[in-house]
Amino acid sequence: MIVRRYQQPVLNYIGRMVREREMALDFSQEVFLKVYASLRSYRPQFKFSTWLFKIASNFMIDHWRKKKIPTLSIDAQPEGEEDCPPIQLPDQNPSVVRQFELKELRAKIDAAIDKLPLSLRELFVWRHVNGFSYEEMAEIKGLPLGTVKNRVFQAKELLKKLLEEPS
Amino acid sequence: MICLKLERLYAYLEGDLAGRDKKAVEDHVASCPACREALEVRRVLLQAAETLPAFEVPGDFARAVMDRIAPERSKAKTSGWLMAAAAGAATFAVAFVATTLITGHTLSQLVLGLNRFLWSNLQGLTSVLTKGAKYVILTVKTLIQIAGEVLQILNTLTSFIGPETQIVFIGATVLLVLGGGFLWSRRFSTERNHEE
Repeated sequence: MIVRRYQQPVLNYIGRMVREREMALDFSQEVFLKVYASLRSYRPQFKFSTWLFKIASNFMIDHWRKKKIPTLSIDAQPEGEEDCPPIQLPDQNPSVVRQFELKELRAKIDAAIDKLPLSLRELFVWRHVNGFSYEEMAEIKGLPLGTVKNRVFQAKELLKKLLEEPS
Repeated sequence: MICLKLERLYAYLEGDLAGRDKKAVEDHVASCPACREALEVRRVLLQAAETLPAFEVPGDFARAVMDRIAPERSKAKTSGWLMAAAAGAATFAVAFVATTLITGHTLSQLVLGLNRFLWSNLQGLTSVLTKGAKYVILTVKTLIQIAGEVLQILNTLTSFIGPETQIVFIGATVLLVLGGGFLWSRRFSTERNHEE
């Protein structure tokens, strides 16, 4: 029952993190095995999905550490990050984003997500692919709400910048 | 005119603003082309991100996970059964050896004796069961015959009486039974009161 209920959100999360279907399926299986193995440690006062995604997130952190990814650690604070983001005002130049068809834009976003630093990618995927609330994400990561909001904001703006870069 | 912060535009797009805050953004965007463009770009971007195709989950994914979880459980179950079977076999062996030592009979004599004992009891049990079945069948047959006779008599009697008379007769019988029951219960309760 647990697997059927959460297989799609877990696969969507891991799939967007690794971008390889077979690897995503293997990792998702491993996450569910870890969930079953740790069921005794689950406390009902916490939301089950929060607990499950904490396990999934830790699994991904272990994976990146084993791979010794030279980019930012998934839990590292991005450069210049503060709880209160700097004032961001709209660009005065028109964006190319609106010139793309929706299908084309989806493909570009899919590729651009892979270029986001891990700490931003994970939160962006949770917020805009899995549809988590900022509060849920803050609980899963054990981070202040302001930090989570700021990172998601940075992810979105970086994504927009990546989409505007000439391919 | 001071342009809106991008955080505010995202908060508007994600439905985090309400009332006056929401209205303020809408009013500003209506009169500021730069903010309007910025809002639209981010709306398109979020819409595309939120409608990315989901990774297809194979139909047997859950089963594959459970198969990897289950071996541990089934192993535990199997070992439980094996333990029970081994314990049973060990008890039987000990009892057999003890009986052999106490009675002084050989193994073949004991097996033969056990066989004879089981066979004679089985024969006795079979004959008892057969007799019981015969009596049950005979009783059922007799009851069916009696019910048939009673129905025949009722059929003959009702052929002489019209349907209206039959209804009156049945109604009177029901009334008599109910009235009799009522009177009997009253008498019974009065007697009990006297006794008390």
